[in-house]
Amino acid sequence: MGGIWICNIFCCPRRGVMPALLLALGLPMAQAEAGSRYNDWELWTASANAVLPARQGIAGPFRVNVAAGAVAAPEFLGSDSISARALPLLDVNYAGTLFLSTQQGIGWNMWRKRTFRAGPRITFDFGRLAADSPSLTGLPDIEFGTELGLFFESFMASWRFKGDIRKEVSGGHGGLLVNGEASWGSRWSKNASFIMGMRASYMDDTYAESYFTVAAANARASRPAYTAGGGFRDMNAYVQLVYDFTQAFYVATELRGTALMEQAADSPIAESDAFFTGSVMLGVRF
Amino acid sequence: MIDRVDSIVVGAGVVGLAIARQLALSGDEVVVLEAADAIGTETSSRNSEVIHAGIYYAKDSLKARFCVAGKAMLYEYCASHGVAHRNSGKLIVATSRDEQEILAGIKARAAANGVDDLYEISASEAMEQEPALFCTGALVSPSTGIIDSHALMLAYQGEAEDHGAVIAFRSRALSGQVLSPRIGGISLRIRDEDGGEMELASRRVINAAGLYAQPLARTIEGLDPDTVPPLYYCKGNYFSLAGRQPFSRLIYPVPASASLGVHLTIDMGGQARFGPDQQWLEGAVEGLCGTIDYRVEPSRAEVFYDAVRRYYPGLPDDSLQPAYSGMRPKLQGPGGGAEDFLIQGPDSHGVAGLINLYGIESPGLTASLAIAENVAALLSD
Repeated sequence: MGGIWICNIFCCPRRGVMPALLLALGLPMAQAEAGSRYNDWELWTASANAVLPARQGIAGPFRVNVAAGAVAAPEFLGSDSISARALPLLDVNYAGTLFLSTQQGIGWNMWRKRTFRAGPRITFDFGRLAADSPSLTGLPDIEFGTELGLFFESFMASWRFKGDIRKEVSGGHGGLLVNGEASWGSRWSKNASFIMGMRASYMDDTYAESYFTVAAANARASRPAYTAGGGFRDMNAYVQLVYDFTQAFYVATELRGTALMEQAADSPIAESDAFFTGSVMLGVRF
Repeated sequence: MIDRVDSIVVGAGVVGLAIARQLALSGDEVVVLEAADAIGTETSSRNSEVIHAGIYYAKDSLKARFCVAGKAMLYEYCASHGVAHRNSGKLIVATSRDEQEILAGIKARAAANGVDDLYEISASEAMEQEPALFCTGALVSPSTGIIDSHALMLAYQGEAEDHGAVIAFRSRALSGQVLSPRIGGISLRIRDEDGGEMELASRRVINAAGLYAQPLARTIEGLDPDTVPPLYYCKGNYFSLAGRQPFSRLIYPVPASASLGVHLTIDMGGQARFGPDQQWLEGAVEGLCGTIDYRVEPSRAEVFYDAVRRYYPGLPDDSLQPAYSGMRPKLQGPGGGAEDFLIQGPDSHGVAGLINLYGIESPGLTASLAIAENVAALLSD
């Protein structure tokens, strides 16, 4: 499930946000300032008045973002039952080089440029248990798994492009997932930030078999046998809003619409091939 | 000290849940014991999901009575509780002169059961209405329908729980004992998922364990084992039709032996499927903890192609995909005639408070509410 990006707020008007596009959307340009010693990707991931070390006089190399909130989302990918659950977030960044994050995993910004970063990382797949939903009864559990992968993030004015490839190496689905994403954003006011984007995910045969195949032994009237192959898993579009109460405290919301695609959508496990998720979080950066 | 409750229902299939709901609505304290980790994991979710009209069963049999009464109750229940269903109707089709003669007998039997809405149409009418069909004559059953069986069970479960019933999942009833008249009732030995065992007693025990009803009944000390009928497992395999389904109604061939034949049904999502066939497991079933192999042999599709092409000659090659299978708890072995439901109360076996339900196969889903009413009546006698 795509989580909310607490820090994914544009804050770099000095890079020249596309004025025509902003005007078309009625979005005022922010008057943000940022220390020039930061890379674009660091600024992009902090709101205009966020607490950056140089602005608060913090000398240490750590930057931390902690948040908690709730998300309303399908019980599993393809479920037609929406449930609400707690959503914790922790982002720790060390000297702009290493990161540990509930959203991004554990990684190393091995290649760092002003508008680009890339490197290896470890991510986690939380799997899917038959006990998660009555609809999954009789299906084998997909255990928690660890994924190794490579990621990149690139910026062009107010646009951000992200991609990653991840292969599970222990437990879980055992497959390969490739994600690509493009997003755009700006600020509505000094305190309010806005971002919108689209994301697509591609799965290999192994991933598809784990998540979307129904073996004949596990099939029943409402869930006939089905063999899923690799292909596009889903495409989603999202809007995020962040309001900064102070330089440190903020509230972030996200609404995301997802459409399952190809064999994922055709799988009998997918009770609904289109759904919305929404989340609200309160957080603090320091 | 053994814990006691008013009523124990063994089995959280569609019939067990309907009974639990019925008893809970009447104010009983009900515990449902379910060996699996969810409701309706076996026969209740591995069938054609058809609301049967009550056509084929012997006059005055429990199947005929409960199916016809249960059908009316079920349609009303689905409408009032938001359970997905569709009154799709079905065609019973003859594909030869011999089968055409059988159609008249089917209509007469249905009328004897109180199903008086069947009517005949000519082959040309039938094939005009269903262009993909071949037949030499047909009967229309307007009251046949389809249902989301899982949604029905969830509705039963919800109502039962709203009225205080508790469903204990991963709790297998291992054995039972009829308690002395001074104490009264029956105690059951139960094993949980961790292997821990406990005893639970009740003045009423309803054995609705479906595939495991006879093995459980045989373990009950104080119940005459001669009252427990033999149990035969008959697997039914289903194949789904790839691509667009060609019919607007369910299509049933003229039945042969104790089976309704390889028929075409349509699920609530509009997917067509064919089945079930009959794959008998050898010998009578004795054990309580067997593992059932629900895999569908792709090679069985060959038999389906032959059977289905009798009424759907345009069935394309390689269009049938293994879909799922279910197991019927039969009271008769291969070649035997169709047996009725067997519901034994105290008058049958002499044990106060004990109801055993045997051979609850089709049309158990349709009949579930009527069976539940009957069980409640037996308990109140």
